[in-house]
Amino acid sequence: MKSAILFCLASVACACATTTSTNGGAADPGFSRSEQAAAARINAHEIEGHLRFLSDDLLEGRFPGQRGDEIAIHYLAAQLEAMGLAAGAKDKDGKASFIQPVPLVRYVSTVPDHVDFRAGAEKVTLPESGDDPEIILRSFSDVDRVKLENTELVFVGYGIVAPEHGWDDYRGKDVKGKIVVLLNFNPPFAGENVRLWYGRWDYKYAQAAAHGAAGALLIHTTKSAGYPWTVVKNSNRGPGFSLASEGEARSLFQGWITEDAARRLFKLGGRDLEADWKAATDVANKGAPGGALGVTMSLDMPVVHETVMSANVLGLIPGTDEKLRDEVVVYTAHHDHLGKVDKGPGVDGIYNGALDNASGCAAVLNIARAALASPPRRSLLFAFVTAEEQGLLGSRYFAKHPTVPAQHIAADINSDVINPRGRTSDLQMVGLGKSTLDAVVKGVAAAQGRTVHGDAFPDRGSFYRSDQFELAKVGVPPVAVVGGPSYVGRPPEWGREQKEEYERNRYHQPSDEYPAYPGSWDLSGAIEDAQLQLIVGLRVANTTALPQWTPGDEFEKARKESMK
Amino acid sequence: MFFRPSPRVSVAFLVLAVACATSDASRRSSSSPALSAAEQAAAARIQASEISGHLRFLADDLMAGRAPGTTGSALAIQYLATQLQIAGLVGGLAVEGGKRTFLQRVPLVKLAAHVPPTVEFQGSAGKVSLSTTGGAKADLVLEPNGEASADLEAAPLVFAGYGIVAPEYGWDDYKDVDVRGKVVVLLNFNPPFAGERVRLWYGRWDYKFQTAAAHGAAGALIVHTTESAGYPWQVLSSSADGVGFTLPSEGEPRMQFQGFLAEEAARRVFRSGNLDLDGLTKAAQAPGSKGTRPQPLSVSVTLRMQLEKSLIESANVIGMVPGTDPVLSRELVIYTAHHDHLGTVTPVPPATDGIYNGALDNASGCATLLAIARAAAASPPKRSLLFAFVTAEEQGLLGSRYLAQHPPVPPGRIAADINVDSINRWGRTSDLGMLGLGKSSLDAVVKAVAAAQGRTVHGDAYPDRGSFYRSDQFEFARIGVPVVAAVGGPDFIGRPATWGKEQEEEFEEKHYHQPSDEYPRAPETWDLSGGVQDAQLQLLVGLRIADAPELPSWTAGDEFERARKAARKE
Repeated sequence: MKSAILFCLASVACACATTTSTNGGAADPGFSRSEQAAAARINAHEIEGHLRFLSDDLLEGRFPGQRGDEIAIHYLAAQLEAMGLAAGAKDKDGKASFIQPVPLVRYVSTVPDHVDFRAGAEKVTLPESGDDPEIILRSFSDVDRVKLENTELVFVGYGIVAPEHGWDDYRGKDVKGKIVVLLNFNPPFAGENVRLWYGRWDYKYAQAAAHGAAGALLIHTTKSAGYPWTVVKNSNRGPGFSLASEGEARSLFQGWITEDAARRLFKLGGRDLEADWKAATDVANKGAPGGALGVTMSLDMPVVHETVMSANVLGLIPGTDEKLRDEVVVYTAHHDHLGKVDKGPGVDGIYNGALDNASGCAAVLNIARAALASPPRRSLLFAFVTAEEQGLLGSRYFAKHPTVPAQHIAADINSDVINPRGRTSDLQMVGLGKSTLDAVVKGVAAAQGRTVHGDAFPDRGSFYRSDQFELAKVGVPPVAVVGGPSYVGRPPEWGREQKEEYERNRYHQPSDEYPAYPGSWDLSGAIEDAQLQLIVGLRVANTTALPQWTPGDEFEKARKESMK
Repeated sequence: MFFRPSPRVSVAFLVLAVACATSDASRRSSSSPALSAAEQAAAARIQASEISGHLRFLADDLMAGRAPGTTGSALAIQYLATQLQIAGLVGGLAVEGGKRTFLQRVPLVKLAAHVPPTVEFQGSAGKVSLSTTGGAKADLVLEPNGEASADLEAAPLVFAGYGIVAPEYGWDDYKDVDVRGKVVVLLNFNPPFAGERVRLWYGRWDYKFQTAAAHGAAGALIVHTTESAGYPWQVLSSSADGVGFTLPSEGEPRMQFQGFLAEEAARRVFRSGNLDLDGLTKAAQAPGSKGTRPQPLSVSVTLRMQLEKSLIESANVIGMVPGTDPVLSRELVIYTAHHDHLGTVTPVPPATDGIYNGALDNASGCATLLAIARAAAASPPKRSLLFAFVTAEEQGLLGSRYLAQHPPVPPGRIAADINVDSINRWGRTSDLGMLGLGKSSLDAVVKAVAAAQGRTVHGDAYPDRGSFYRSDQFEFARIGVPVVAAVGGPDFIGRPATWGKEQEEEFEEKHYHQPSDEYPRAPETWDLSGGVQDAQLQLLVGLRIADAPELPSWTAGDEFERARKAARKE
């Protein structure tokens, strides 16, 4: 799972759910015989075997570009080949291959101790280093040095361009070569307190770059980010990864400043943060009045960048219908995790990522084998993607370089962190309400005797935090489901407590191991989820009509464009 | 395949199988001409892609040649255990608490001897100083045998002919002599018990050292001749490094050293005791001699050789398909394939990557066993099936020896061993070579399945290599378990008659135990259609053995029949 830290906490799914079960696949109360046979091929020993291998210490936490990553990639490719899947990618010579190389770039910025802002003779200095920085900077630009002399700051509110809402924060502003200052979050386009893609920092940085900004500074508030400044501080320093630039615009740097620092900068330019904020967020304005702050920034920051090779692993089960087999249902699971650190002798510094996401890979491998015995009409593509923990980079690369054109991808079914705690009477679907896939999921869940609800932890906004999001961005409707939190035979609060215990004590820690302690994992629930994902995929792949986004959904536009 | 650089191992040139084959196919097992529907279904579960996928992983550079005790080996071990679990097998070994495990820890002892550059032999007629250095010019090759350093002061030498004790042939080279604390000097090869130029276990160096140790010798030296060894002296002397691997002693007798004497050096040693090597050799070889009367040489040797000992942890990976019959499921058919290979070498030889991937030897056999295991797990037979991926074959069959010495059931309840070491990678064949053809009732089972495939069975197509004693099946034969070691060829369908042999010889010459024993880069594969044919045969042979009411038996008088009888009594 992508670090909560790096992504904003969107309270998304439930809020925008407008149930559409009637316009998707009929909610069949039961399973066909062939579905039952396929489901019976999902089993605990297969999931457990893969899980045990992928989370072994020998894989050293599967960090992109390192030995453990290479082992995981070759393991997954070997499994797909051994099961008899067709290669889903092409190598550099155009030959069929299970491996899609993904070039990543690792950037290391040498940040200055402090950064100076000036307005005439006045100056504000913000510390960058030490325990109490007020500004955090990082470069993802292919330059050796970021050097800015008295570069102007421009306030652009949310930094959103949303023609469907008539909103444009860049209207009438020239930000070329300048530094934009931004608010986090988004206007209530989809309801109060609902974060959309527009409300995420990565959207904002991308827009700033697209408008030619030299840099971008995002004003942190705990409310708009959803997490305190310490989280920003801890997760945005040190090396950063990105895909290699393919000619798209990049700013020279990305940054965050504290709310208090922003207040001082606005004041330095003779402005009032609160007043500008109010005007920028006023929905009547349809964009920030904003404009130049009358403040300049100087910066001299060396950057080292190197290419690191990792790979997605892709296997295909060809469909049986001559017309539909050019289309695919894709299953995704990220294979990378956080690597290892030297914590000294006798201390386990290996981030095994058993649950996150050896478990998802194991489940998808089992789904592949189960599907292989009776392939559906459309083809099935199994994609094990890299560098999710570095910002969904593998899935982004796949979405940019799909081995099947995006408009031919019927749906993406993503597995990121399975349910290790036993059977559930319910199922959480992140992004419930966004597409006709709701009905398919509900149909299968009903046949299992389970109910479907939106994100049980709406304050976390998981929809944008794993790989289904990158596919959604290119218009592919996703399924991101996991059983719970109502566990069969457990008190009502148990599931949530367990999940919170995991988040607190194991998530992104060396203790995310398999098994954490003997008998600590019960895969019966994960089997039910994998069976559901399998049958949902088969139904989508067997249904002539492609799934549709709910009209007006934020990703409907991307689908329409790809369909052209 | 075990052919340790010092080709003592190549021991070879035994013309074994064909010669001693006395086919009894007609007598046993009703050789059904066709496969049953269940057998056909089982065979259809063996897919080339499955073998290819596992093979590609196990032969990957990431495994770094799978030398025992290395990270690469650990990765291979973990992979195999994982795949067995995924295929639905249970752990092959019971551990406390009713649980089972896939791993059998195998402790290996690495012994590195500080070999002195010269060794003094004091004879009644003078002193001889032999050199252990200089490659081909060395007079003597010395190696560790036991775990203790050698410390011999004027230990007497005794000539003990072939060093063979074979009561069934009325032969005993040790009769009436006490060799305790002495150094025995031995001839290579064996008397023509099973025909001229047929090497038996009695004719192998490891038999001779073991027997000398059992008689209490302090050390043993085998006189090398090119004819009796089958290879020139420099093959032995140029790779001598004083390093040996062994299993930890479990109380069996060990010597302070073992070694080989160059022929000319041996002559000099004998002469220093006023004896004639050639005359003694002739006498020992004489038909009807029934053994040498051990001959004190009036020569003694003084030797001090320090040993450095280190322990290496490796493991056999073992999974089980439990049998369906309440009684017969207590018996096993074992499938074996060794997972280790030679690791890496530094400095990296020019034009190689220095990694001994061992794709054919024996990632291929492991991959095949995994495919057989999955196919068998879907319809288990009456007896249980054990799938054992053994370690340290290349160090002298140590993993299989450990398993044979610590089997999950007593040896008498092991029906057969089916070993896979280096598969056929060149396509479909019309024939099948079976090592040790003629040795047991398993001939008939193999022939029946081969016939159903439209294939004929013959003995070792390369009788000069004596492969029977050179892979893991041998360790099971030694504890009395009848074995199957079969591989398709050399008659390849659609190829000229000599093509198969040419491929094999080219492999031996250019790739065998070389860094170039690699699997091609994806998406290329080998032609595994013949490997699939063989795997199907191995699967069905195993299922038939496991479903048969009777256990297989050795051919009457076979060298391993005695071990079986002893095992069945227990």
